[in-house]
Amino acid sequence: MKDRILIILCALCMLPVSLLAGIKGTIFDENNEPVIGANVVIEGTTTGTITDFDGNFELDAQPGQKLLISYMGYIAQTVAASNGMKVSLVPDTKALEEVVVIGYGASKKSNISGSVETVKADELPKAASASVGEMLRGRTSGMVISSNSAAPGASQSITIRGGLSGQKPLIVIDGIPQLQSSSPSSGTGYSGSDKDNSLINISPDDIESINILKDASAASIYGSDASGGVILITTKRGKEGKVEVSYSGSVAFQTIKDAPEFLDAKGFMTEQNRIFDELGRSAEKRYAPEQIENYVGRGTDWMKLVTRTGLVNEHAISVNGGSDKTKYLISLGLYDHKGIAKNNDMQRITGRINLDQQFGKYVKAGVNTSFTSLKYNDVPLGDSRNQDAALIYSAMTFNPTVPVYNLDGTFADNPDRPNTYPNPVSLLEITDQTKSYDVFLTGYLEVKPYKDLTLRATGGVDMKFAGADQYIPTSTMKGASLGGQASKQTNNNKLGIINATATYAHNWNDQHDLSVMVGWEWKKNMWDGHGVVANNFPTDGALMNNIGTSEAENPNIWSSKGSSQMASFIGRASYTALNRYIVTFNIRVDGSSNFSKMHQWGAFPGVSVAWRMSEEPWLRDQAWLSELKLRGGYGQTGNAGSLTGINTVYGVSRGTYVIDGSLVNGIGLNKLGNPDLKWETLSDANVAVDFGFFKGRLSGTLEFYQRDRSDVILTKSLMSYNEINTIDYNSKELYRSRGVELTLHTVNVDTKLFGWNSDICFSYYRNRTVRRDPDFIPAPYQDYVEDWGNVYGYKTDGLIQAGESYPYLPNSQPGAIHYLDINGYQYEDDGVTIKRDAEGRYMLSGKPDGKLDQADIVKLYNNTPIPFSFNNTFRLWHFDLNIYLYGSLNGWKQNDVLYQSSYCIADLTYGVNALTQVQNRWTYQNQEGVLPGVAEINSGIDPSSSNFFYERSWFLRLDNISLGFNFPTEWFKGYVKSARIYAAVRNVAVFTPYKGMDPETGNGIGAYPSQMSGAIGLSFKF
Amino acid sequence: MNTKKYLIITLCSVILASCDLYREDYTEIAEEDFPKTENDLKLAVNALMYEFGTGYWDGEAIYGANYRGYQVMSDMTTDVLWSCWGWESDVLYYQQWQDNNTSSISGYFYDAFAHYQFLSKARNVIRRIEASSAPDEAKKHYSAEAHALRGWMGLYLYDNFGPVPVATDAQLNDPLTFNYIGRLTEEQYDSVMTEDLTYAIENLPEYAPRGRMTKGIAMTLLLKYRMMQGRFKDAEQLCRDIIALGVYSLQPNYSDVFDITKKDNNEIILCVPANSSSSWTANYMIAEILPADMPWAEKSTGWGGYVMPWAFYDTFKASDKRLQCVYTSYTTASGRNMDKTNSAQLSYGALPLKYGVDPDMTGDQAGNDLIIYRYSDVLLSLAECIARNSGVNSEAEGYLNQVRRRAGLGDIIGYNTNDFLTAILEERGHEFYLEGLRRQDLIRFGKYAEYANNRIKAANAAGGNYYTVTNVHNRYPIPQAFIDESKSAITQNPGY
Repeated sequence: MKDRILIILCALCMLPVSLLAGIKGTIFDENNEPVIGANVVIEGTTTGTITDFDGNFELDAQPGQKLLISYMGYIAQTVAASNGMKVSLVPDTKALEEVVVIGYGASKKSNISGSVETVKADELPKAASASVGEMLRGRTSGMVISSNSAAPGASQSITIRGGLSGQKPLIVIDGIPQLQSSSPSSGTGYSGSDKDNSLINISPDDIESINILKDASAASIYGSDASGGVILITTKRGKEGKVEVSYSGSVAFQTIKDAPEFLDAKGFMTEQNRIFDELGRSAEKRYAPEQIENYVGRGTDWMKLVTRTGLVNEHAISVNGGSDKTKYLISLGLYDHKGIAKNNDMQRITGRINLDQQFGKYVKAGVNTSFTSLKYNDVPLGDSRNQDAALIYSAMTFNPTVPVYNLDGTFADNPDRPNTYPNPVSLLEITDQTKSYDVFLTGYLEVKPYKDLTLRATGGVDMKFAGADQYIPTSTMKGASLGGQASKQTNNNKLGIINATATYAHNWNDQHDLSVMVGWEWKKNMWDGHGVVANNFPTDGALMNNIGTSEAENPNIWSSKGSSQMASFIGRASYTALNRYIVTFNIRVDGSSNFSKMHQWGAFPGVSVAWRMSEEPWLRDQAWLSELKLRGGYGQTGNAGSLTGINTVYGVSRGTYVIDGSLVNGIGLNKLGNPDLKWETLSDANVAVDFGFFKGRLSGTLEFYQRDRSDVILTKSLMSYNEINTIDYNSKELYRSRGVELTLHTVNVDTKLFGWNSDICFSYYRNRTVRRDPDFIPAPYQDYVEDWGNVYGYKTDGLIQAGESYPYLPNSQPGAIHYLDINGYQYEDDGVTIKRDAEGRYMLSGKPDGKLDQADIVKLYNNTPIPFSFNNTFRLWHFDLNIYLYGSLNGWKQNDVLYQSSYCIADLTYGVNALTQVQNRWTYQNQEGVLPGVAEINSGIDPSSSNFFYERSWFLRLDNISLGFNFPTEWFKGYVKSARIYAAVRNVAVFTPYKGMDPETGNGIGAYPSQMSGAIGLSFKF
Repeated sequence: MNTKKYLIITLCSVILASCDLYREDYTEIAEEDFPKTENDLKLAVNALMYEFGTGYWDGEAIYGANYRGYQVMSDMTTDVLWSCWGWESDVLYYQQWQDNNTSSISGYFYDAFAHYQFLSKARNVIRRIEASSAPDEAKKHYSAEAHALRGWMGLYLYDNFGPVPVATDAQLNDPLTFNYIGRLTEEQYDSVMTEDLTYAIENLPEYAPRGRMTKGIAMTLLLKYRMMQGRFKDAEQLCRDIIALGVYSLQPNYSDVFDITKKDNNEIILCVPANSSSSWTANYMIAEILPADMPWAEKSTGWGGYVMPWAFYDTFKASDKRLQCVYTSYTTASGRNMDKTNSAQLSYGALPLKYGVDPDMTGDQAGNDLIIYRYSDVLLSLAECIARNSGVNSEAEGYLNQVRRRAGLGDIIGYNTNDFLTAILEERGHEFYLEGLRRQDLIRFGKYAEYANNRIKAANAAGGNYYTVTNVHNRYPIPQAFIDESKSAITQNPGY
């Protein structure tokens, strides 16, 4: 293959040289820019040439001879030859019309009747984003992407249209669905952030376009895999006629954006003393007033010691080109992210070769191969406390009066409660590496035996090999107690797929356009893995790499293996009449080995219609209207739930009990099978209007949808006395999502010098449970039709003040939270049995009953986000500027850091640090204090079951400001096709009333702090 | 065109081959493959033992060392155990529970009651054993073990709640049908317990490796049940039968019983063997008590929570040898002396570290077996039964004094029956603290609520806000969730 590419490269280089003297001329495009690589041929001969970098050609032709001038994407022209001739090419709008990938084929955008969104990868700001998921955030309405953590390479949850199905979207790369897999966990007490396992495997630079099938009328072609929606990714391919080398690179620096403020040493000592006073334990005070007074400095800033300036380096290079027979693209990418937590980094290397080859007239074949290597160095993260406290948690809360090291060089301990909390810096000694390799190999063979018929077969395999290694050395507290702990885990996943389609497409006089596709697909998923966790090592030196030296009596070992199969039949017919009446019908029939023989097969149809009103004769000539299309569709997709089997099975449990000092295994019933299980169904109805006004100055889409999820596979509780008291079943529950999505694209200013485009996305949806199982009994506070975003809890009214007491809060002294008793139950005449309403729900009396119980729980908030985004692109001369904002208009969130610091304020006596905010807690001396005092811990009620620490968390994030400069190509005398430098700032500012950490990623007290990144980058093509 | 032909041929053959879809998972054992052999029977019984483990924190097993643990919950609602960790332990210590609890104690009750499912599980295992093709001898043996385990859990449930619902075989055969079954009557429950334990007594061996069931264990379980029922005549006979086995004897030193180097001592009748190498089989009772800064084993960690309240400590005679493992002060590694004046934990009480040092204790995990029932309980029970059945006599005094002598105390002679019984109750407190027997002992003597009210009175005098309790608390409330689930076929314990 290499040879062939070389030959092509040479041939291309030689062509301009081999010309003969004669006619000279220049070819321009519609903007009067020279066209490079246009074909100029003397009509009826094979004599010809292509234009050089300045659009010039020279051809041995006679003046007056007819020259055929052609260039991809432009209408071919026949012009009489004359010396010094100048030819302007006119773009071929028909050929340029966007083609949208819709699964097992493509369609012209104008002929689409389902709900399909397209994102061009080039339009996304790339700086400091490893995953295309991060870049897509807010780019399309109806798709919500949220990072679960701000750590490098952390997992994202992508939900399309409210995530009603509970499934991740199916990601299809060049026609092959990507393997869904998960990284192995370290298998020990410490773990890093959850890893992104899907979109991170593909280099954003390799992506040509992304299409999102949002509604089931479009997604049903992927049947039972598609209930979470489908993201179709098309990678870049080689283009005919020119060798193009592109490079892009950037470097970004990151700083912490949302570090909460904890007490410094003096504040800590003062507050600890005060807490002892407030607890009535003044005798245990540790600091004399003069000791605090004379303390020099702020103490140890643990956060500073475990964090650093993050650094992201990206490089991507690609070469593409080809002849009319062979086209290729080769790319290589490196993404290296040093996180803001020390020792936390992520590195990705991607490689790709896409190749297409035409064999003779009828046959075409190609391969797509990609390789991804991901390497993470993790730090322990999470919300664990005490011995297992992780890096960020520990750095926030560790005693600030303690130095990092003792005089003998060992890590200092917290004297207020020794041997309990790990020294934050010691946690940096933990080795935690995750590696994964993803090999994606696919090939296709396409045969066009007749003009309108295409037969295509694709086969592919996606293999992921992942391994997690961890070592907790004896210099850490946990490691010391375990004698060092090593863990090695592997997880391998393989997807084998083969499919074949036959497509017939014909256009009759531009009046009738018909496309029919039938196909078949077979898939097998295989997984296997194994792992060891052992402790008690003679030395720390070997880390996890000599695990056999463990003296552990009982190392934890496991392995597993399994597979499942699916076969499918697919079909689609699409018909367009007179360019304006469109109907599309999809069907997929899936069979899965996860179901019993009698329910193995499920059929998932989809139908959609569209009417391009703007093509009607009576509207076509309206200058103000450039596009008006009404669409409607209905479809179904399936879902096998989280189903693993339909069989009743036994399982071995390891080390269930100790006999004579040794662990023994047991075998017990694990699962009660339900052979009656069948597919869940997701039914979608969608109506939409696509519009464009004033020659596309204002265009957009407005969509309404309703999505129903029925036959929901749930785990039902059987009577609790049963040996296995749960079973998977198809419930009668019906979940419904209703929503509206608006996408607007406006061209605000468009002059030669200055341009300003905006994109606005907005979506609003509500997920509800609208029908329940017959035996469902709602809780007293629960509606029969229940909104998924509801947050329930007790109401509160500030704090209990001095002299106040409430009988229903017997353990709450002044300073504790004043939970409200607002309701009680209605009783039958016996005074004991609580009355129930028609739905079986306990009836409330509406009056306080002197008890704080379930009756007092009310709906506090609705938490469903209302996502929106606002993207602005400006150009001025050769500069471009992008300003991107996104956010959510609704949100309620518990301020976890404050909750933890405040509720556990008494832990200050153990040397656990708290937020500076806790200084404003209620005490007898500070009765104005707004945060609960030490009395709250004895209340017996967890404040997280109330609204006390909830805050509004709507937000507006200024996510990207990037300024680029496109070098005028003439500066490079045509040797460089394009060159751009840019500077970008990511996560510039967040506007929100929420006072905790980041409103999106700041979950829990040990959340990875979010970052602001400043990047500079360069890209060019030649 | 040849290509096309091949393509179509390949396609057709693959399509045909793909119609048979199957999945495999090597971590599963199919229903029809188990249990078959003698080893299968053993594995099935082992799986049942899981619920008696020591290292689970979420109530999955009943002998955890946190507040959910059977022994901890039983002792902490009495005068012998407390914790310095704030309100959760106070709710137990002052018995501040009602039927509709908002505090986490309702979760403990829930977890405890949920174990009534074990009776079904064990019953199914017994039936599977009987239906298997293993040799009859093996079937009898493992069935007897499963019967004993069922009796053990049956005792736990009865102790906490009184009779619970027990599903019939027909109901168990059809798990998909919702049967709303109520609690058994005392008589019905008695026949289930008697049947299970009698079968176990008849078919179990006298000796078995630690952890497996024996005749003596089954007899002791039945003894404990009879004591709770107040059937002291039957209990007396069982005590005599256990003694007659000749398997058990008192250890010369009290601390030997718990000594990790003397795990096989024949005072222990039933224990949950521990293994510190895995987190779910370790003994955490030491860590719960041990202060973090108290020097102990080389790699040990303590959490510094549980204490023996000073009021109870003070009822011991100073010469009582059983105080040897109860610490009133200690010196930290840095040389600081800690006592009730400068340690929050010691201000609550003394440290009942009766399990002693496991030199290999790593972190919070110790390898000491958790002692459940032992021979001195049989002796004291016999003394009590004789006194209750026929009045105090020298035989009864003899059994009591055997236990007292080992503790270095003088004999009790010539007490009237009432005083003798009072002495027995005090003796049992001193002998079995931290072993979870105190709750039933106080209930049997009618003093469970009375003792709690004494503590409540003292606490309220010092500014507390606790309500007084009644004998209703002798049984825990049935969690409302189970009553609701059964459509009220399960009735609440009277008084709640």
